[in-house]
Amino acid sequence: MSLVELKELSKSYGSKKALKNVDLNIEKGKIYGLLGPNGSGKTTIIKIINGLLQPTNGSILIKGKAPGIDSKKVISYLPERTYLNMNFKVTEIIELFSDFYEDFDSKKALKQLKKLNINPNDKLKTMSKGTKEKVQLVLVMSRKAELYILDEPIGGVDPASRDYILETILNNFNEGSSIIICTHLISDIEKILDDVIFINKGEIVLNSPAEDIRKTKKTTIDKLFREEFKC
Amino acid sequence: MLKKLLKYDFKAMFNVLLPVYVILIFLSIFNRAAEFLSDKLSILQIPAGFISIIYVLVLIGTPIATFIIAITRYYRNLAGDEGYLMHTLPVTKKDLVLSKLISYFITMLVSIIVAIIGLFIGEYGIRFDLDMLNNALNTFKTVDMLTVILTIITIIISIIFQQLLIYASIALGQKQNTNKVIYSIIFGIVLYNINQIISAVILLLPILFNRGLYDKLNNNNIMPSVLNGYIGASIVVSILFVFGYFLLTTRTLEKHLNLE
Amino acid sequence: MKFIFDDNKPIYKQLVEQLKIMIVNNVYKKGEKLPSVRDFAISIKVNPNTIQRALIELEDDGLIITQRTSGKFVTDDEKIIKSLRNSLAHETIEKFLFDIAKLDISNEELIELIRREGKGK
Repeated sequence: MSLVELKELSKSYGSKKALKNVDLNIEKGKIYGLLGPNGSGKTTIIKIINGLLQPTNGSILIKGKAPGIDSKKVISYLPERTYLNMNFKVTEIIELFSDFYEDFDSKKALKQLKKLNINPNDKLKTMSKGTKEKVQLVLVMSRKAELYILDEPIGGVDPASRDYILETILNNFNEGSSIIICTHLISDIEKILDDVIFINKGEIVLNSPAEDIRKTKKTTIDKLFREEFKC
Repeated sequence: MLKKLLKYDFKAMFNVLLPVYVILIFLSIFNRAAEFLSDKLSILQIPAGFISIIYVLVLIGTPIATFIIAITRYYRNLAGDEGYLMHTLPVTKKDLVLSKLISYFITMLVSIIVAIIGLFIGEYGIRFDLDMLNNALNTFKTVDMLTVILTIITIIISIIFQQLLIYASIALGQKQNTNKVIYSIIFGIVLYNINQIISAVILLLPILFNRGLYDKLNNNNIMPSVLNGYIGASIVVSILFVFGYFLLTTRTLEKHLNLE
Repeated sequence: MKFIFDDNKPIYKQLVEQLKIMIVNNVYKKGEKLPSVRDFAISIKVNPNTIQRALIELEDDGLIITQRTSGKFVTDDEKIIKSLRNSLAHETIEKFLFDIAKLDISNEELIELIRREGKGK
């Protein structure tokens, strides 16, 4: 049984088709890159997996069941935006995660934040954008989830922080779990990907292991992406 | 999980309201002192009047603030960016809405009680004397105890009803891709009117079947039993709508969530 | 430990080649314990499965030994390492000879040039 199984998944907003008959399997123990331009449907897929959106047609199964409370317990999601209450102190948001997620490791989170020189008593609103994003990433990765979904984890962050973020992602990865990374900064992350999924205009146009692409097409994933999606 | 949600909702509400309560009580005492002093020194009447105005504003404002804070939090938590957190927590939509509703209801009761306390302390314009108290008690004697109880229940139900109406409107409004707030307002107006029409029909139906009832109701001396019957019936209708709006809200959030 | 990857080619292959060189070069000494796959992945920012694949290939070549409870180690068999060095050298020389054949140089001139180049090293 796949971790996530999308079968002929479609989503329409009125006449606009955001997803057209998407078939996709996410297996455990792999790191996936879900790559596509804005409006390609990748955010729609992410939302559907997280139960934030209902499909118009087709099916989505997470560990064999429809999205619901059970799937939310094992999926750790990092949205692209700041989605936490900015008035919260870091300690308060850690408490919240501990309260609602059994798999949350607060000690680990505090340790990682300490290494970043973040004062746990600081309120989120006092932090710079980059720091906020790191806090959100640490929280998401401090859960022992089965599926991590990271939407633009390295966007808007300086290069040194990007390294830190990649390390954090790899540090928390284990064979029992999978990671889906959405990003347009492909050259930074392509070496950590197992499989690459290109999505455009609601359809999957490529789904292949990264190494196979390098072997057969003799190109970087980044170059292939630019070629595929040049305007 | 409901308990955990309640913990956060209560914390957030009281974090804002506790200072307001303190200010209100302080102003009540201040107002009473100001009125007392201005009686003795007439030059103090203008500043005392000024203080009274602020006092009254805070007095009325406290329950209003509670209402506004509750709605704002509901909107932000469940239809705004924080929805990305709230709706991915492993909790049911039912619990999410229930937590907001219960925390609002309790804090509203507290706000009302604090406001009443503030009223008594500040004593604005009301000079309680024994005569007035006597008159008040006398009116109670002529009115049926049941009526009083039913009226209180009606007020309580309407606090919940109002809130759920808005919850449902916001839930329906966020379904849209654009102009979510405007649609929420429109849905609110629609839901309200539906409620009014249906309530009116249900409550007027008995008159169609019993013409005698109309005369009884038109009388200035309504029999308590008839009055209580009507109040009771409208309470039942309101409760049905409360359940209806609750289901509408949770189902809409389950099936038609559309966060930006 | 510095790896340089060309993202246009399969990473695991480059990892195998560069690890082989490092073993021959004593960057990874014989018998030395290798970092875990996870630590490796974190330090060079490469997919753990890719790293695993490279390590398995090295293991098939006898260059790495897995001890079930303690991890992966460079072989302490000197002969294997020496033979690796020789085969790598052989490859490099082959390539060099192939390239240099395009230039018209006699064997004596070639040896003299090599000696002169080698003096500084």
